[in-house]
Amino acid sequence: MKVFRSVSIAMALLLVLVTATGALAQRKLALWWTVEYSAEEKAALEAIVNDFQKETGIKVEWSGYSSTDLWAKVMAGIEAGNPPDVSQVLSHSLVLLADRGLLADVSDLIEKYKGDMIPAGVEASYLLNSKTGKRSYYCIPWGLYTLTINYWTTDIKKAGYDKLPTDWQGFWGAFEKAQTVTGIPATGWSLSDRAEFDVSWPVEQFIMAFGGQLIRDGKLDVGAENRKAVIEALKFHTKWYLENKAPKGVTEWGDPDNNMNLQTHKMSITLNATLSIPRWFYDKERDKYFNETASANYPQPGPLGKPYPVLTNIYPMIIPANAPNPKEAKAFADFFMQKKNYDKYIQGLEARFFPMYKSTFDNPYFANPKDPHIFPSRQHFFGPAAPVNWMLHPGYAKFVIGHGWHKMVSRVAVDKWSPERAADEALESLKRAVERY
Amino acid sequence: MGSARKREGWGRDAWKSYLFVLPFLALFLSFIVYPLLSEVYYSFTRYEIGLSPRFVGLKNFVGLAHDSDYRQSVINTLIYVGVGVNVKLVLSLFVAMFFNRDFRGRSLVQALFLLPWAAATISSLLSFRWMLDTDFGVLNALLPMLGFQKIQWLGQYSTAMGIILMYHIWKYLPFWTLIFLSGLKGIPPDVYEAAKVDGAAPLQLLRWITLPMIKGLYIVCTLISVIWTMGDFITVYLLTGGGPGQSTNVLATIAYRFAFRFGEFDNASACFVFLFPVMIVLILLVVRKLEASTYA
Repeated sequence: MKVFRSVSIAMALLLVLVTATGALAQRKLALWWTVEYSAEEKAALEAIVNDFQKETGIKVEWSGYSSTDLWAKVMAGIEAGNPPDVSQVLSHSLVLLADRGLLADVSDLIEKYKGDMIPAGVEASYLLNSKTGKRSYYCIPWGLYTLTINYWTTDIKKAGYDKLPTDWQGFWGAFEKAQTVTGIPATGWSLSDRAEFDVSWPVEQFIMAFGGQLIRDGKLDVGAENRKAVIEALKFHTKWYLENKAPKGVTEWGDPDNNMNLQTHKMSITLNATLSIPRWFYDKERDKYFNETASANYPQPGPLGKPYPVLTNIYPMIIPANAPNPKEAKAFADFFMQKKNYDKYIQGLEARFFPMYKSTFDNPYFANPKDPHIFPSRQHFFGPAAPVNWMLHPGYAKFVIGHGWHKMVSRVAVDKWSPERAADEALESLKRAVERY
Repeated sequence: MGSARKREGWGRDAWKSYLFVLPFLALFLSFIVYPLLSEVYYSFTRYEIGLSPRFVGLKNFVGLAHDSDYRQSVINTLIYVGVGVNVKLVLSLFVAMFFNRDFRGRSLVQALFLLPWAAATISSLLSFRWMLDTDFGVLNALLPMLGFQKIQWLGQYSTAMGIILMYHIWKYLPFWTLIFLSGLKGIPPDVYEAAKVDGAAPLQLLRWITLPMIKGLYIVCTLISVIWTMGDFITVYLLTGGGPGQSTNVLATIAYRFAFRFGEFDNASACFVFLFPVMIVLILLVVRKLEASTYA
């Protein structure tokens, strides 16, 4: 009996020892990722995580969040000294984190892959760190996106158009005309604080179209030309609502509401930062994807009769400077960006984001001219393109994070301020936001 | 003799007493005192994510005083607390008086009345939001049938603030009604009977018996409700997200914005430290009132 007990204890101790040693030897990393719109996103992430684990033996403990929740969680994690090893953040918060020196420099990885990367995306990742006073690469831009234009071709046909006009006035005029025929509101984008980029991005894009460029050479320019562009952009952004050419609820819309309203045909056209609307049609009503809806390229020339750049943005992968497992984090980022793994992942997302690699853009999946959505949206990256302003200045990013543009469109649309007054208020706020940098 | 025995007993068993109190004391210091003192300290520093706190005196408070969004959130908090608490408690008292009478089916009505309080907060908030949706909401589906135009309930300041208040009252009215009901049940029936014998009318019963006897409870409830309502985050966050145009923020949501959108823990702390003097006075009043009613 005594012997049996001794052997049992010895074996138990051995088991504990082996387990403990194994646990110590097990390399691992914590991955926080955005999983918010589709099952495909989750499946694509799980696939790349599994491949990585198999190849490296590094265990990945991953958690999925919505993009806004993730942003707050990353902030809290970094501050509490318990950050993830690898994560995503929205691009405006990326700029603030880089500026405060909270992200690991990943120049080595960018140098390795940038030969095949879209230059605008690489440029957007070259960020200022106010602690060092220098710019460097503080993220791996893995996804590229643009404000896509999704519309019902059936409405345009009912208005008597075979093809959508490609000049600014003709383009938007076609949807106004369609409304008079169909009775369906022409367009709609959010004017509410419950949305994020769905408000700021169209304002920024319209400022560009009206000849504005608020950040030039890293500095804020609030001169007369830009003031005029901001006024016109605010007018254009809100006129659809004010002239009853948008669903009434735009003043309350969150990010998914323009999706829902276009999908249920409560309006004819909308702007959306990803191709999530067409993807919904592809999954649920494929006939409509191919035969009743389409995505458009931006109408050129712009309202001033001149071409204007289409704004592009990146979806970044970050490694916090205080990540507990930086080596494993870099190994994951490296694995993720290797062409064979990357292509599988990005296609798994089903074009919710566009690829960072030029060569991936040439895949038939992204380069099929018969696809009514992916192909026209793809063209945004190959015409005149520019990064969104908030990637160019941390103060500007702060203005956008603080819903600076949300406030101004609400002032014009809801509080009935003149666009001039709202533009002046916006420029004053912008001046205050950038002055500390 | 008695006090000497007490002192002797206390001295002998003191370590045991401390031992029993120790877990609570540790939790109290860790989760109440330390965060509170930290918050006060951070409000006087520049403390952004990734930066070590650096003393800046009153700079954050001056900055907040010049921030129009913050000023608006203070006004909204005052409206939310002032209107929300008072309307809710007055209504609660009357509903409690209603339930304090005998009538057929009282238990059923009481149970139904309690439902909003029992319902999960997030799902009830989302239901409110959907019912009030301008394009798809049930309320706006009914309005045109009655000859009215659709209203953007959450898309304009006045109606959005109204809805926030309405939700708060709807949600918490049952809870305070229960509290008042238990208070009313504590009033001896013979007091009313004696007054009735003397010819007191119902309004006189309310004025001279019910209100004086429930006064202490009402004050404590008001103070507690003010403290709870001041810190309410989820109602505004889920109903309006602080919009339209950042106009319906309250202190809790604006502090969240500072902390988790900008990473400015200094301003987030200062938002609440601004209110500490008011809160501390309120809490002291609650404590004093409770002590008075306990030991009177």
